[in-house]
Amino acid sequence: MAPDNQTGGARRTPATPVPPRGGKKGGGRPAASRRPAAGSRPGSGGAAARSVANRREAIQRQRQRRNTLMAIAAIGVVIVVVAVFVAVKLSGGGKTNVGTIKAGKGAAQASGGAALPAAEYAKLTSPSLATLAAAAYHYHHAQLVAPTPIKSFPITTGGKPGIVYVGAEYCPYCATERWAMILALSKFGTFSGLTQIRSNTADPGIQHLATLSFYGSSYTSKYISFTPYELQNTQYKTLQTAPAKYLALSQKYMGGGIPLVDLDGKVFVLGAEYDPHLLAGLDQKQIIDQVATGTTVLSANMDADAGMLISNICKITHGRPGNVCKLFPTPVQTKG
Amino acid sequence: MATGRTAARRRRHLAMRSSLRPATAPGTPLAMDLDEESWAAADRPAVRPRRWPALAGMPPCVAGLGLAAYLTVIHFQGVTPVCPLGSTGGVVDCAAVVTSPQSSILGIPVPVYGLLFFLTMLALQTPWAWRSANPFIRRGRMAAAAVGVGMILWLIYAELFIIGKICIDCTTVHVLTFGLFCTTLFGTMATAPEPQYR
Repeated sequence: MAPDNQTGGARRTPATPVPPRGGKKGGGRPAASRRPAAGSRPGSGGAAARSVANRREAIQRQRQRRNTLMAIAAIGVVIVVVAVFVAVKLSGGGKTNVGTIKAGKGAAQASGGAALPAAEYAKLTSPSLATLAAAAYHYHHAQLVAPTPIKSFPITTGGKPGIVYVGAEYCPYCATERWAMILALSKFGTFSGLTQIRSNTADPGIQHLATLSFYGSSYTSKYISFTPYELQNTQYKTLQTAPAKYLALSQKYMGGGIPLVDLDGKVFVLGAEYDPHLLAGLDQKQIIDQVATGTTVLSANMDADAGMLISNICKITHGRPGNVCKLFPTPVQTKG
Repeated sequence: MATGRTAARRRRHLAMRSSLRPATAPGTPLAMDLDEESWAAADRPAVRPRRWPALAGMPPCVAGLGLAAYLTVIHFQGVTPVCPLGSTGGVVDCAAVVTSPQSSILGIPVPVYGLLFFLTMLALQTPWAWRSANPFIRRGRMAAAAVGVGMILWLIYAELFIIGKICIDCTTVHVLTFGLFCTTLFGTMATAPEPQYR
């Protein structure tokens, strides 16, 4: 705050002509007129008054200098703070995992997205198994596509059946499918290091869908292993390279398209299972809120997609864990 | 508004006036017949008249108001804002910033705070407000500018370290707010009342 150039005593003395003070006889003259200007007194008093006036001017100049310096210092502090922010950012400091799930090493930098806060992850994965099962078995939507049973090579890691995802951060269909995958896989294990990104294509209506990236994330489960490959980032630059066999499968069944989700070589998810347009215009928080409240078309589609995935994962885990899979007795699939 | 001191002075004045009233036509106002506002104003030193603070302060307010209004509409419509240097997932990505969790504070979208800020500042940057010696106006204006700068520092931090994206529209608002802070700071100094000595 810039200080005003006035003292406590000065505030009590008006500069404008003041009406008379009633307590004094002969009042009525403005305060200023009771005190002639400095230097106007005749005789020896004039020099003293001039001296006082000079001292006042010197004090005023000093105050002005001090105020100017304070103002410049305040502006300088703002500039320095911003410069420090930029310098720290450019030097690669300032990880973005403050108050969030611990991000995978370098994930936020590589993907360019902010880590998903733990509270948001909890909300996203909050729909109950009963809700997901009901949606998978009873919800019917024209654009919902169930996983496809296909015989391929098994994926086993550490004695656990494996799931492989091949997609890319720019891809809107991958953006769509990831939401349901995270919801489904959260019933078998725990994700960490998910980052918030937006897909990036020229497809009308689905150019920049809010989603979460698997790049730099990790997934732990007692029942399944999960290996995601995000081939390219949102700027179409290579992030990861998937084993050739998965690219060959993608080529064989989808003409090289993505996303491809391979459930232990037994079931494939080819493309998004629900309509990506349902995500248009929403941010991550809004999507997660809808999933958590479960009252919209988007949430119904996502629940159904996740439920279908769970029913097929239960098939490859042979019904483990029981508390999850007892609600999904049969896999929901399309004809292969 | 009359303070206690002002009211007491007015009472003394009225008592004295009844004995001093010169022979004038009934109803003719005397020079010393000041209303309460005038009495209160007489307690304050006058500001040094300057035109440039208002001239320098109002344009950023109007520009900021326009941008904040645009970003508010964008927020509630849920559409992607026009981003001058791109909105395609790179470092500059307005969509990522305006749809991030940091785009709301206490459930209220940040552009709404911007609207309120620039509306308030516009009122405080008018020539009338700059002519006013009222300390509430002078200090309120400076405090509002300081709060604005504090807010943009937080938003820059959030863009760089939490969201990881820069929004050009938002950066323009930040520059305007900083400019407003500078003009308010120097304007407040330039129009500070002359010190009075007893």
